[in-house]
Amino acid sequence: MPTERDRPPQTRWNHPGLTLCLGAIMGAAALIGGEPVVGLALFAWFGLCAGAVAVATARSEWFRETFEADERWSVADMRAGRLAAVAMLTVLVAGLVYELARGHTLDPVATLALAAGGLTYTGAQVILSRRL
Amino acid sequence: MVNDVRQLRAKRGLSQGQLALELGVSRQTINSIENDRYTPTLNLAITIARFFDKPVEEVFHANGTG
Repeated sequence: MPTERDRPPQTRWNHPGLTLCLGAIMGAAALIGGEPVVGLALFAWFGLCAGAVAVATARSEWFRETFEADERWSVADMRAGRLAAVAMLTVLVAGLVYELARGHTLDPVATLALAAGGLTYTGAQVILSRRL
Repeated sequence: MVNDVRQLRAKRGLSQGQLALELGVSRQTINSIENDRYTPTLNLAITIARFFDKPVEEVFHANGTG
């Protein structure tokens, strides 16, 4: 029977590393878009967040264990993700309705996000309902 | 869902951290299970029961079934 031990090991650098990568991507995007100051500011902000997480993980047992990947963490992660998705969808739908009411056309990124969300949900339901 | 994990762990003289290490989960997970705040997956429930050499139903009880 597979156990939690079979998962790839998660080090304390996973979260800071991911945050830093995200900052680098956003910073590079801003740089390409001709906004070097915004790019640097974004990278610095994400770097600061990554550093804070790294320090907190090293110094706080509570913080370290909170982000230790096991099944309880996975459940919390899944519920947090669901709440975040609901919040994002609410803002997106409300924003689109507001923009429509003002006589504006739909924002392409927001429309794409809604379409991607809807398709992902439908696809996941179909696949998961067959697998589970 | 209630359980006897705390009593079984105490009988073995293990700390929450030691049991967590044996089961490959975090200490907080053991703490949450013992305080009935978190119901483990079937996989972890079986792993816990096996660790204590007990059937699952002797370690975990649906509310009201003692």
